[in-house]
Amino acid sequence: MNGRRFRAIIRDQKILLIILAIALVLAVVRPVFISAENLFNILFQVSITSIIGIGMTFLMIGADFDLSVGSNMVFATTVAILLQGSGLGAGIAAAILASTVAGFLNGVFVAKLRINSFISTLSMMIFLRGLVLILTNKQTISGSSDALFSFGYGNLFGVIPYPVVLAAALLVLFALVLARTVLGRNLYAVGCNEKAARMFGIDVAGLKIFAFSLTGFLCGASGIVLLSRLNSASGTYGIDTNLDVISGVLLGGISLSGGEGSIFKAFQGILLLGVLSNAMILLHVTPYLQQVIKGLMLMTVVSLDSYQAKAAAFR
Amino acid sequence: MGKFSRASGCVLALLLCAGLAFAGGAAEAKPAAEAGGQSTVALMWGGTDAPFVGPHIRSFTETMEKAGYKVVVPDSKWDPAKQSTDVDDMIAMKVDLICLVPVDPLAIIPALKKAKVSGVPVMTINTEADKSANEYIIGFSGVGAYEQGLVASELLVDAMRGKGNIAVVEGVSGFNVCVLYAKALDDTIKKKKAAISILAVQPTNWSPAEATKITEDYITRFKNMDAIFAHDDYIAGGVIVALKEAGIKPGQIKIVGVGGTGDALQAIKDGWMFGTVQQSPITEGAFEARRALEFLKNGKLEPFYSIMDNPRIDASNVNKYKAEF
Repeated sequence: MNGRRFRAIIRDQKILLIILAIALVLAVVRPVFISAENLFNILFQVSITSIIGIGMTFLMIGADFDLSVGSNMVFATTVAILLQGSGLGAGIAAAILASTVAGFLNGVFVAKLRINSFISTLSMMIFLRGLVLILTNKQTISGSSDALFSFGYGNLFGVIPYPVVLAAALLVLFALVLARTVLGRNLYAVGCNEKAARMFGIDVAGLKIFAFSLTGFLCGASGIVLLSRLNSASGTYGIDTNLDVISGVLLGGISLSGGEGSIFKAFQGILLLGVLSNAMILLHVTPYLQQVIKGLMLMTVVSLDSYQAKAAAFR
Repeated sequence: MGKFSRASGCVLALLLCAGLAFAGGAAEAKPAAEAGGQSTVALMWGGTDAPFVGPHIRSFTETMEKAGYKVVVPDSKWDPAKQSTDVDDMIAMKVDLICLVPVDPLAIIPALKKAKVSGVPVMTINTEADKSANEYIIGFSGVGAYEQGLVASELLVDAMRGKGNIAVVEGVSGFNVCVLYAKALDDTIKKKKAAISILAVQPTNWSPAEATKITEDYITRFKNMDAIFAHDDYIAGGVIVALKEAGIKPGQIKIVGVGGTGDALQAIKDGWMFGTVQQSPITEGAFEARRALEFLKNGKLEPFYSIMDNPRIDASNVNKYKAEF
């Protein structure tokens, strides 16, 4: 392998290499890391953020983002519980629909009313959090579905948690949509240069509304996964979900300025955060130091991406 | 799909394959002690950023380490979903005991059930989970949040001589302890047939700075505010800052907190606070660690409930208490 190729691998696959390095070290110093239970725990722990991360990747490739994802997720959980009397299927459908509508509204605010996505989704985040507190009367409300519970704690082939299977299926499906369809290509074009995309006849507003609605839909799906694990809902759930998702997607190299990245790169970033959290717990790192390390990791990787992008531009 | 996606797929596949390969116990982790390492206890607070939590973790950890145990402290960031998955991590680590403060009394139940099935004992501490979780835990040690709320509420009723208006600066909306404090206040007002109204309840996320801002709003909005219930003494400190800035004199608005911090004891002596309920994180951390050690030594915990006293502190007895934190 020549030096140039080696540098290219380091540049393009740094997140994977970091994950592998952590895994190798942990396998030696904490063998419990490579136990089936622990590996599937990590995958389960990132399953919710990965599902929402799909929507966030669509948004960020189109140069938008959504701060309301955590509130929207718990909004779905709350709606599903409140409507469980009408049947499990109806409750789930209504919850996912409600979250999709919230996402659609975000899209309308951004694409039609031209409100900055930071402001519109921040407003939606606060609105939905308040709505959940009202709907739950500031208490924890509980669900009653054994079927959902079997999903949250059940395993395919007795090993792979169902939420991981769902997340993997959605990741593959939407990676194909992004990479192989006109819709995906148009989204990259919008993220690269919105004005140019519009001149080429791309329906920019429609694409943005689609991306926000998709994110809402995925928040709804995540809300159901959350319900299947916790069997309850409260206004305190998912407070930091937006930060976890955005941090993971950024770590994966998806730029806030849009036009680049992929679903699987975003997944790498989210997986790295999950592996890092797990590693630090296994290594008995204090929670305060954990935050410092995560912050440093994000800062380093994003700075490296920025440096590489500038270096490439000058070449 | 490009090379990135193929590489990512490889990592996912690698993790899945490793999991499958080791499934069935091939690489099953042994408890730390059995593996020849140090025995480990998990201390699972809901979050680690609240002022009360740091001294508690230090006190708990010191007591456990003196007895030869290692303490691991995950940070659930006050998120019930994260706390639930953190329990999964502790199960995978096969810790000897989990001492857990539930962020949410109901949401934690499935995780407690899983821990029991996996053979990892859990003792809830500081704050109780829902009673229906009792079959999955070995016991509870700590304070009774509701009982503590009752003591604070009685202080408020006494401060106001049974009539007036209270504003509340709470910890986190929907957080178990805050819900129980609110219930205790309602129940006390009804029980004592006091003519007391609650003007407003606003969350501070346990931040004294946020408490200052909220109190400033309260002062502007409510001219008939007689007392403020602060859900802990750190928040009460923030309330006092706002009252001082507004030129309000000590005792003009009665403040009741929870904790017994050095600042709160001084504020009671100075007349800024009417009273507080003692809950020292240092005493509590050591108390709960001793209960954990009792279980680890004997393999059982008796009695199931061990509730600490929450003495009332006011001007009449404040000199008896020494500032611990």
